[in-house]
Amino acid sequence: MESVQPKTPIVRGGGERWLGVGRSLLPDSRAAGAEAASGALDGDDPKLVVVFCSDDHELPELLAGVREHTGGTPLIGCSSSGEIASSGPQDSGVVVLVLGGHGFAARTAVATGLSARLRQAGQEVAGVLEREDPERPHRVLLLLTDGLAGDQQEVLRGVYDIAGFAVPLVGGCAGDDLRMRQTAQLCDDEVHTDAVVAAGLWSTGPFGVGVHHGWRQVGEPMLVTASSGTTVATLDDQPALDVYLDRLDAPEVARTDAESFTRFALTHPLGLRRRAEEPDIRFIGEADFEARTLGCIAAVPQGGLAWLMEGDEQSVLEATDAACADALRPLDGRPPLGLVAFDCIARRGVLGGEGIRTEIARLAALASGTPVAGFYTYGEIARTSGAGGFHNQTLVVLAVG
Amino acid sequence: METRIGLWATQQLAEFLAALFEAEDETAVLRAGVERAAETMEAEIGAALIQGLVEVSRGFRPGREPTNLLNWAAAVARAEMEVPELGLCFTATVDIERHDEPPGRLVLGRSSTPFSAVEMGLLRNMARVLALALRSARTLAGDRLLLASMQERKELLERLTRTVRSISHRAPLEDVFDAICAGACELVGNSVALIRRLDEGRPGMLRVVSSHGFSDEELQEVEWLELGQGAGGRAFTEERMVVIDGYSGKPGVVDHFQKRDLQCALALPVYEGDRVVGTLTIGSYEPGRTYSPAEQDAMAALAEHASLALSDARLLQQMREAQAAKDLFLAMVSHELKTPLTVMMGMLRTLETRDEDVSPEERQAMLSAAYRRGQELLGLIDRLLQGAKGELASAVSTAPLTEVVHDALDGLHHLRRVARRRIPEVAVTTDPQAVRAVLGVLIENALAHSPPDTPIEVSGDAGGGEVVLSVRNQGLLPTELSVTELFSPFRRGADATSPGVGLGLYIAARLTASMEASLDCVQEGDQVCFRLRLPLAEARQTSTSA
Repeated sequence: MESVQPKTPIVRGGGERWLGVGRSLLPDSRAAGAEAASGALDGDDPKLVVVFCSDDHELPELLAGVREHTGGTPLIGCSSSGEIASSGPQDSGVVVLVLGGHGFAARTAVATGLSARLRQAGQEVAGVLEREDPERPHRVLLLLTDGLAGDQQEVLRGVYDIAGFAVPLVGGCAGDDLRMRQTAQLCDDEVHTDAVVAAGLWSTGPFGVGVHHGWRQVGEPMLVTASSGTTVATLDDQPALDVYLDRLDAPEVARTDAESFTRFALTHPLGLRRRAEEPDIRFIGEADFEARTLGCIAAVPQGGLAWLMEGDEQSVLEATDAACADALRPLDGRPPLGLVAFDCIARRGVLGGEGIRTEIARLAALASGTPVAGFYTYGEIARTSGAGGFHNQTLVVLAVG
Repeated sequence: METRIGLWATQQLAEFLAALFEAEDETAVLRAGVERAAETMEAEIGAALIQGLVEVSRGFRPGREPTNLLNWAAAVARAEMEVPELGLCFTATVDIERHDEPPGRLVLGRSSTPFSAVEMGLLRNMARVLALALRSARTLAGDRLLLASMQERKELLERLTRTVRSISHRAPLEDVFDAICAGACELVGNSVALIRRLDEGRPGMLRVVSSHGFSDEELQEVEWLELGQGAGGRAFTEERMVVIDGYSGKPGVVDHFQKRDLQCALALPVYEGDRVVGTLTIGSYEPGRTYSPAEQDAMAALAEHASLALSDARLLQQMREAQAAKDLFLAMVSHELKTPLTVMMGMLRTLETRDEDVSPEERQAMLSAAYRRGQELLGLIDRLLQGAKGELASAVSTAPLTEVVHDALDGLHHLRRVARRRIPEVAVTTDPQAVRAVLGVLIENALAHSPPDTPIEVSGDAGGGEVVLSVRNQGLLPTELSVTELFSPFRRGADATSPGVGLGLYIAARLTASMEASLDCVQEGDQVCFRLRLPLAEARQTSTSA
C-alpha cells in the first residue's frame, strides 16, 4: 500500500477540509477496493468518495471493498483505461480519492439509459447541485459518463439546461482499456453501464479548472460534407474513412483491423475550428469498414471544417503545464488540497510509457506535493466559460483549493 | 488572418444552418438557434425575445431568466452589464426578422471578451438563417398538420369501408346492430358504443338494443335513456350529431358515465326511412380524448350507412317474414283445399265403383256430404280470392252508406236475426264491394262465434270525418290471442269450434287496409264488437233510420 505523506488539515473560514488518495494493484477485487479506500481515508468525516478502476476487476466486489472503509459516504466512480495517482500511472488497478471535513458537502446522482436519452439524463443529474450553500459558496459538478453511449455534448447540454452558467463542470468519460465495448459507472452502492453519474460538491475553498490538449493542425482543412451526429460519412465529398487513411498514409493493418485502426486513430484525431485559438479535438473511436465512415465520440457538425491533428511529447507536456497552471490560477498562489486529472487515453498514446510517468510527475510537482488522482478517459468534460464543455484528447485538471 | 476569420465564420454558419434544419418545429428551431449561437460564440447566456417576452433562454436556471435585464440588453447592439453570479458580461443583440410581425431579438452574453465586428457580422447572418428556418418550420408544420389530417381521413375511410362491408351482408337486425357497434369502436379506437331505439312500450325512452365494450352489469345501468338526456337523448330529439367533450363537467349528462369519468361522447340519430328511430353513441374513457373533425365525419358517414343498413335489413326481414308467411299460407291452404276435395273425390269414387253396394240412404248421405264439402271448398276459394283482391287496386266510388250496409246484410237474415241500428245517411267514397266483403266477414264471424239464439247488431256512427260501422255479438274474444294475432292468417281461438281455417278476419283486415280504413275489435262486457272505420269524403246527414 502506498500513500502520500500525512496531510495537515486545512482550516479556512471555520471549516476543516482534507483530500486523500489511495491506490491498489492487488488482483483480488475486494481487497484492492479496501486497500485503496483505506489509503485514501486521511481524516474524519469523509464527504465524497471517487473511484477510478480497471474493468478487469469484479466491480461489485471492488465496490464492496471500498464500502468496507467508507461506509455510506456518497460515492461516484467509473471504469478507466488506466488510473493516475501521485506515484504515477497504472493499469488494471484502482485509485480512490476521498474528500472530507466540514468544509465540504456532497450529493450524488445517477441517470441510466443514457444512450436513449442523452439530454434528459444530463438534466436529471444536474439537479444534484440545485441548492446553494451559503456556508460553502464554491461548488463544482463532477460528471463521469459512458462515452460509448452517444454524443456527449448532448449530455452537457442537458446539464446546462438545469445548472446554467453558475456551475463549473468537470469530469470525463469512462474507459474500458480501448476495447470500446462497455464501460461502467459507479454511484453509491451500485454499478451501472450506459449511465451518467454526478457528484455535486460544495466547498469553503475555491475550485480551479484547466483545459489544454497540445495537438497541432496538419495540412489543409477538409470540408465535412456529410455527417450525422457522431458519424462522419464524407469529407470533401469522398468517403471519410478513405480520405482520413490516405491523407495520413495509414499502415495497411489499420485499414482492415478495427483494433489496429483505433490505436492508430488515437494519435491522429480530428480538429474542428472554433472561436478559440485551440480547435476542438474529436477522438475517432471507430471506423465502419463497410460504410467507409468514421465514428467519433462527439458530434462533428456537417458543413464545418475539420483538420487532421498531430502531437508529440513536447506539445503534450506543454499542454499539461498549461492546464495545470490554469487550474491553479483561481487559488491565488495557495497550494491545492490536491489535483484531479482527466487525461485522454490518446495523449497517453502520444507520450508513451515513459512520457506518461513524466507527465504525472510534472502534475505532482505543480501540485506542490499534494495528492494527485485521475484516470485515462475516452473524453473530457470541462466548462468554466461559454456554453460547451466537452473535449476530446485533452487534459482537464481540477484543482481543489 | 482575414481568410482564416472568413473561413471560420463560413464554417460556423454552415454548422448553424445544419443544426437548425434538424429541428422539428418552430419552438425547437428557436431553441436550437439560441443554443448553437451561444455555443459558437462561447457565450454563457443566450436568449430570444419577442415583444419583450423571453421565448427561449440559455444559461439561466429554469424560471430564473432576468427578463428586465435581457430586455435592457436587447435594446442595443452591444453592451456591458452585470449578471448575478456571472459578473461583468459583454452582450450582443441582433434582430430576428419575422414575416408580417414585429422582429424578435437574439441576445448573447459572455464573460470573456466583447463581441468583435466579425462576430457581430456572423451573428447577424445567423439571425437571418434563424428567421428563414422559423418560417420554414411554420410552413412545414402547416403542411404536416394537413398531411396528418389527410392520413387520418384515409385511415378512417379504410376502416369505414371495412365496417360498412361487414354490415352490408348481415341480415338479422340484431347482427346489423352488433356490427355497427363493433364497427364504430374500430373506426375511432379506444371507445365504447351503444345503439338505442325508441321503445314503443315506454314513451319518451330510448332502450339499448346493441352495445360494444360494456359488461352485463354496466348495460343494466345504462339500458334506458330519457329523450333529451346525454348525447344520445339529445341526438334523438335534436336530430343532429351531438358531441360532448369534457364529459364529466357538463350538465345533463348520464350519471353512470359521469361517475366513471367518461372523457367524451358523440351521438348521431339513426333513421329508418325519414323517421328517427334511435341513436348511435360512442364514448371514450381515455384521458384527454376528443373526437377530431375527421372522426366526427367518419362517424356521421357510419351512421348514414347504419340507417341504410337498418332500412335494408328491415325490408329484408319483412320480405323474409312475408316469404315465410306465404310459404305457411300455401302449405295450409294446400292442406285445407285438399281436405274437402279428398273427401269429395272419395265419396264420388265410391259411388262410381261400388254404387250397387251403397244403399239409397248411404248414397243420399254421401251426396249431401260431398255437396257440403263442395260448398266448403267454394267458400274457401272465395276467401282466397277476396284476400288476393285486397292487393289489387280497388274500384272506388261514392255510395250511400245505408245501401252498402243493406247489400252486405242481404241473404244473412235467414241464418240469424241481424239488427241494424243508426246507420248514418252519409255517403262514403270507397270501394263498396270491399266494404260489403268486410261486413260479410264480420257478420259471418259473429254468426260463427256467438250462441245461436243471440242477436247480432250492426250500427254506425259518423263524426270527426269518419264513420264507424260496428258489428256486435255475444261472446268473448280469445284471451290467448292479441288483436294483431286475431287478424293474422290461420289464427283461431283455442275454443273455436266453427268450421274454417282462420282466414276470414285476415282477409277482412287486408281489404280494410286496401281501403285506407281501419279495423279493430274490443270486448264490451259480454259482447264482442268489431269496428270498421271509414273516412268520409263529405258528410251529409239527413235523418237516421232506426
